[in-house]
Amino acid sequence: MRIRIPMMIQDPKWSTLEGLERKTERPFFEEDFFLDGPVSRRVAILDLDPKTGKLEESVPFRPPTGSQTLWRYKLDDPDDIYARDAIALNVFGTVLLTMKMFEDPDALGRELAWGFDGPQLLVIPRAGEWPNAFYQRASRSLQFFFFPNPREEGDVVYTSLSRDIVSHETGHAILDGIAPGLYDAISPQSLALHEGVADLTAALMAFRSGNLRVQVLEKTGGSIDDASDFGSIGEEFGLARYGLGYLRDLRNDLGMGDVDHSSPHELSQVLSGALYKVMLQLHKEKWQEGSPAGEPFAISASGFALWKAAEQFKRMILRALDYLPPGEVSFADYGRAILASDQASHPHAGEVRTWIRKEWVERGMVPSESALRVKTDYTHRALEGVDLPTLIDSDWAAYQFANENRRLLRIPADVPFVVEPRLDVSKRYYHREGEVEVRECLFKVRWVQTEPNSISRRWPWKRRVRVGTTLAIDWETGKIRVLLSSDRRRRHQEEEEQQEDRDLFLRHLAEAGLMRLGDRALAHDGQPLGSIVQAESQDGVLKAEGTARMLHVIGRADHG
Amino acid sequence: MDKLRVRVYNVRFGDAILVTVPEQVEGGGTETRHILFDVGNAKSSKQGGEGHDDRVFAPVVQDIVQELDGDPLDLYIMTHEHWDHVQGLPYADEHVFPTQDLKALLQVQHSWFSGSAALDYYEKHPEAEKALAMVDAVYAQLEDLWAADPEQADDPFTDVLMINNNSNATAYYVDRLRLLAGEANTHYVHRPRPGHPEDSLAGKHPFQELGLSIWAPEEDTADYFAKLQPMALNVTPGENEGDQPSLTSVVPPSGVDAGAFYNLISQRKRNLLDNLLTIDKAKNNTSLVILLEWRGWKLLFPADAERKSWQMMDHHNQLEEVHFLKVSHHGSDTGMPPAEMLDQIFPGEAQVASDGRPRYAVVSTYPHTYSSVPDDDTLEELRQRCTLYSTKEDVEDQGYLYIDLEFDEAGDTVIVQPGGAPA
Repeated sequence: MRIRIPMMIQDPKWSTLEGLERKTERPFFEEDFFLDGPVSRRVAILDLDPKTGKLEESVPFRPPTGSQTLWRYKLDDPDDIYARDAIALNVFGTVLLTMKMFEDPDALGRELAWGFDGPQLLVIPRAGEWPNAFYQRASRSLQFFFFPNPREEGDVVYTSLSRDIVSHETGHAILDGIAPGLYDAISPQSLALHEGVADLTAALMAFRSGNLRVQVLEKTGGSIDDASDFGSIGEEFGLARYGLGYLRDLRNDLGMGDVDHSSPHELSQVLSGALYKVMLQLHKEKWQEGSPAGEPFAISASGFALWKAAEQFKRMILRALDYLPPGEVSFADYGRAILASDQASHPHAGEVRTWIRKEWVERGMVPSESALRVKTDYTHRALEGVDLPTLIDSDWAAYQFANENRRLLRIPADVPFVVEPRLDVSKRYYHREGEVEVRECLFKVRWVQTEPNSISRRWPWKRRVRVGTTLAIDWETGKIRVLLSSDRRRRHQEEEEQQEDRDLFLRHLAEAGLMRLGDRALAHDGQPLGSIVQAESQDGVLKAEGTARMLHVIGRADHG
Repeated sequence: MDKLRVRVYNVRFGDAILVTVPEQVEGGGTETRHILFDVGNAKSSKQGGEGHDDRVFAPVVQDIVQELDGDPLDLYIMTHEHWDHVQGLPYADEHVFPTQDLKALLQVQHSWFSGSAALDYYEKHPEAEKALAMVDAVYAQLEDLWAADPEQADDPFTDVLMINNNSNATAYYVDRLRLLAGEANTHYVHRPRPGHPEDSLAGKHPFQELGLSIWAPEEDTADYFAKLQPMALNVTPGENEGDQPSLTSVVPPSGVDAGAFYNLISQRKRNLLDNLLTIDKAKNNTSLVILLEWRGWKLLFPADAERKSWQMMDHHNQLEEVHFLKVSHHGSDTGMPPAEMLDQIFPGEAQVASDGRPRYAVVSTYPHTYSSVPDDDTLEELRQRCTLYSTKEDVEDQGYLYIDLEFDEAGDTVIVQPGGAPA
């Protein structure tokens, strides 16, 4: 079923401040069904009254009348963006549009699965008064709050009206389905990856808006280098809370030495800043290429160049998520995943990969470019005779394959491992010769390593760290398209840095009382406390879970 | 030989400590002076619940009056505004000495209160006022919830947390305690700030030999109040003023799985407990932490200070080795100083201090009152560093009213003696 949903292009107040004439747009959506709510098979808006919890009247879904051809959600007053029903519909549209971007045939190329056991993400657009928003796996929900603007009497800031914030939180939910192991990570870079990808999701969603692109480029004369509409996250929120025009600014030159390694929010800015810079370079390159001869950087060429660059940027960032090894990952792992994804499909066109390597080194995410070296598209005897449909369907076959190929998959001898459900995915690639569909089998295996735990004598002396390997097999050629592992037995410097960061992060959680052992993390009724990470000691080894749900409690980085 | 005596009474889940100090005074001779900490126990709205038993107060306050034997109480210290630290003396005045004036019996010379108990505190500290407003808002919601669904108020742990932290309820007792020493000798104290002579303790107590210092809290305690989580308790207010609130009835809309829907509703209510614990912790961190020094002995009384307060004390280089510790917050793991800070107070795993004097601690506690308090691992860790006594095992279970620790002036002996008869 196909409909159109009205959505904010930018934060409402920010749109006015920036002089944007067009504040809403109505993209098309296609889902199995739509119901009053709005509700669809995969997303349901629950407009619960923030004070009483009463479920407000649904936004009705009505058939076309007169000259209309599409069913639509009927708003009481379509011009009132602050109306309850408009807010609900805006969130619905933004969540669906974000999902659609990830599912693009040239991104992940498949329908998303959530990180929880169930088909439907529940969304509360006005969850209460609080300057925050979050994704919560346990409740399968996104919750958006509002707060009075301390700088403008009578004004209320709704996070659910911010395209950035809604797509950021949806990015968390989506990533939880792609890489669920990150939710329990104890490595600050893993949690920072969650934040960074969520911020980049927001930036991508801004680039996706044709209306916003046109309006911004008209204002700037074609350049996006200083355009806050794309590079600033949560403009209205940042302005109201901090007097800054952003909650985070992706236009930064932050390096690993500039940020607190125990703070995933601060760390995330290094990653997102690096990738955003690559995006700026992509746009410049395409702008120059697309400009008429003798007229470099013609404004007429900027819009198309921006669209092309944004699409390439999207493919680069999102495809790499499939190649992340399961378990704890670092920025270096994600860098290798991006490079591997690009190299596997475009082995000869390497300029973007040069930029990425440069950013990673300059910002201190890796010690040198050699740390990002990846091998792609090669044969291996382990895959000879492997029947991919059986490998996908049969857990036994998958286990046997992993056990017989421990060396290839970097699994230590005699260590138990888990093989994740295999995925048969097809993605569209654009080559000079035309479009190509690449089908691959994604095979992921994970196991547990133990390392020293140096947070305090009151804690176990060892801790558990999940590591893993992703093997992407080209369905057609039977070659290894990509093989990436977070096993760092051969990358000593990276491993040392990760361990130090884990010490810092866990020590911070322990000292702040945000992580507690055993029953101390539970309420008197035996249920977990929402603001505490429950850690267990099993045979003297520390296990912690659900750390990602602390992200909105730990706080957000903001900087001037 | 002179001895300083610390008498820790069994008031179940609360604190009541009488310190008797022989002081050499000008002109020669010795005078005996007294300090009384708190007197309170956790309150439940349920009658006869474990840990909260007002019957404990009668013999305790009678013993205090008997020990004073007509002499004045030199210093009363109310460490913080939690019910289990403030209720006892006003309760005793009404119920134990109904025909007498307890104030006249005690003759309190000076009172110390935590800074945030000052009547004008919130006027002067806008951030603390905002924090208080947040706390009041949480309480208002919880009171509506309990009015709408009294069964939810049956939970004893939540009940104790609510009452202990109810500033409106504790204000009644704090106001009565304010009258003990009279306005001129009631002092709102905190850790002294450099360059602020008004923070000095001179003139705020009568001690000439005993050293008193305040390790915590700061003058402005707003930072201890962490952000509260939003609560969705599903209560609909009555239609007209004075009407009873009711629980909001919600059903899942069409197309939404009922199990997932009700799970979400349930998860959103969970923040209630987190918030109560956050409020409780914040108040605990406003505790007055007092060090007494007498003839080489150092005795630390941290009331209910929790982790963040210890971290602030460490940040301000307050921590030093002591010989006696009143275990913080009734033996909770959150009241235990972080490991490296415990290493400063009780360095080394031995039951003697670095000067060879023995080390002691007393925990005033009662099980099944606060969740996970006392914490076994916390007490075990302390036992490796000192000789530890408990008001539960060593006083109540043995049929006594208090435990005395007498620190002799030679510095090598501490006599430990339980005594007194409970009600």
